[in-house]
Amino acid sequence: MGFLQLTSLSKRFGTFTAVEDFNLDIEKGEFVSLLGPSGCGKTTTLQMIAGFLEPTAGRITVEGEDLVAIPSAKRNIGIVFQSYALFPHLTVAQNIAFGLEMRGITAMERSQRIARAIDIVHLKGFEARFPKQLSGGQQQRVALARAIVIEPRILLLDEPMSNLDAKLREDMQLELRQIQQELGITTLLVTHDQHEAMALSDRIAVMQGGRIVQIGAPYEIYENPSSRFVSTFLGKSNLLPDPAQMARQISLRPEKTRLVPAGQGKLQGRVTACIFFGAHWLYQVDTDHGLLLAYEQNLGAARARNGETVGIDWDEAHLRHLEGQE
Amino acid sequence: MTPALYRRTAPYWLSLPGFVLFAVMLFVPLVMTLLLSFYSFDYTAGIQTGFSWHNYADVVSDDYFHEIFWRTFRYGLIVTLFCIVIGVPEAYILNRMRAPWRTISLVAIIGPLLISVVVRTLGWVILMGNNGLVNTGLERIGLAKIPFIYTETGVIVALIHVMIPFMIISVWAVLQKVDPATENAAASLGASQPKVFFRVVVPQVIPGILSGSLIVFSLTTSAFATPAIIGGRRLKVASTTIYDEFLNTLEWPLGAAIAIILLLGIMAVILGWNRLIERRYAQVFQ
Ligand SMILES: Nc1ncnc2c1ncn2[C@@H]1O[C@H](COP(=O)(O)OP(=O)(O)O)[C@@H](O)[C@H]1O
Ligand SMILES: [Mg+2]
Repeated sequence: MGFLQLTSLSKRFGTFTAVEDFNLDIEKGEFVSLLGPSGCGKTTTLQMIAGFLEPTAGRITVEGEDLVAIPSAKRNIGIVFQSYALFPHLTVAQNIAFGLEMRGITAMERSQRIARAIDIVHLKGFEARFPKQLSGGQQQRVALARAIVIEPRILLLDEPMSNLDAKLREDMQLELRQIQQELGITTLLVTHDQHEAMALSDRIAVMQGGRIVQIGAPYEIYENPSSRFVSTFLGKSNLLPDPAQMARQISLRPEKTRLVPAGQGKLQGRVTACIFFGAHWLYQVDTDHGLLLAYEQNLGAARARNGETVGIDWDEAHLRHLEGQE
Repeated sequence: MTPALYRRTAPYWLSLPGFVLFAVMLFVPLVMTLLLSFYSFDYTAGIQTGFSWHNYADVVSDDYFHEIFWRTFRYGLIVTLFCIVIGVPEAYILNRMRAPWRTISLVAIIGPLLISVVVRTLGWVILMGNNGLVNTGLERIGLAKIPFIYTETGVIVALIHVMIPFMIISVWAVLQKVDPATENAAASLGASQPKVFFRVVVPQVIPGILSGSLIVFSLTTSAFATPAIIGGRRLKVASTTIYDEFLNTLEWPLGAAIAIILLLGIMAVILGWNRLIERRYAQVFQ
């Protein structure tokens, strides 16, 4: 049985259904991501767990205890908001102290725990600053420290990296994963960024239109996408017609293909684009099955030029049959 | 004109019309009032030009004026305080309302500003006067009348009614810039609803409370119609006293001296208040 269980959870706003029949079990200490496009109901799900929204139907339990009846102030859940939601009138140390004060923790223990949290997020020397005087990355660290200092049962992260620039985002992802594993804290991250979800999570739940469409370890989902949506949202995918069943499609990852001289391989086509990404080249090839993508590791100069005719080859074992049209 | 010279001088001549308007409408009458306050008045000879501090000396040394100024100041303090206590929660509730109700309530709050203060104050007289609706009703059912007209409580209640939209609008403007997620954050950290309000919402709207207080305090201490209609001759404030000196006893120089003292007093409070805001909140809210 999971530590955090969401059972048949749904949320309707008037006639609009934001989350529908949502089922998820999270183990203690696990890091799970909800991955999906904007508007698919990720934040709504998180807010129901936090207690800011009441579910229309379904159950939320932690260690078997029903959360829905408990007000958010009593749930002991740490949250990092997309906007960080720091208290602008309080210093860094006061922001972190807030949750401890609300719990009536003595001043002495408070200062020890604040010092430790500040240490964990590398903010030494910034204790007396106000949020306005910090960079985006530093504000994010304060938000994280404020959430973990109360030693919550569950940590919820709502697109915490979306306001950071690319380089900082990568650094923070590594750090976040380290902190999460060190503290062993059960974490649910919401993101629309596939790389973030893959880099951080033990498991990813891919969401579409308020439902989970696939759930599993990042490698598992990437290698075995169940639908066209998952195969194109998580990574890139070439969609080929399924010769066995007319209505179905087959997914072929671009990195599982090889460019071969014209006349060889399984498909022939003309290169319409050739883009250098550093670690690999991306070729776009116009074939009978439409435009296909092919990645080639950068082992030397480009293998083919624009306009050149090439063959594309792959191992049958890499083909994935998708369920249905979606 | 060269482009550089044009750019350098443009702000000055562009602001010239506004400056002329202010000079004619505000600066000239102010200077004339200041000069007038140094003249003398004689019942037989009328106003005598000259320079003398004796009008100021009269005001400063007379208990009669002390009482008036203290009452003016007291009204300002009490009305400001009540406007904060009532206006801040009202603005907060307004901000939390859903789409149609928010606009409706906002119109209900701002609407009265479109009606003359005299009319709104007369409304209180009709309602709460000695022979007003409420007291007639109370008399019918055999209860005692509630004194309202010609009482300080009456003046203060009517002034709060007149001033509170200014506080609500000031606080509401700041509330709209407050991230609603900060309230959720506080709740998730274990803060009860009252703690969320007093420790997270109120501190964030303090700039609005301070600017609202400035408006309410200066408008209350210089208010004329409400203290005149409800307070009457017995409960004079600075502005009604100035009116009487000018139009009843015709002692213009003395009235001018009171006006200047009132002006300086309000300015001192405003500047002191501003300094306090800047020193306390400059680094938090830029
Ligand atoms: N309070 C609300 N009232 C009405 N619709 C809402 C409300 N909150 C969210 N929605 C709708 O629910 C859907 C899911 O929203 P959200 O959970 O914020 O998506 P995500 O976080 O995945 O981008 C969106 O289409 C949004 O417009
Ligand atoms: Mg969201």
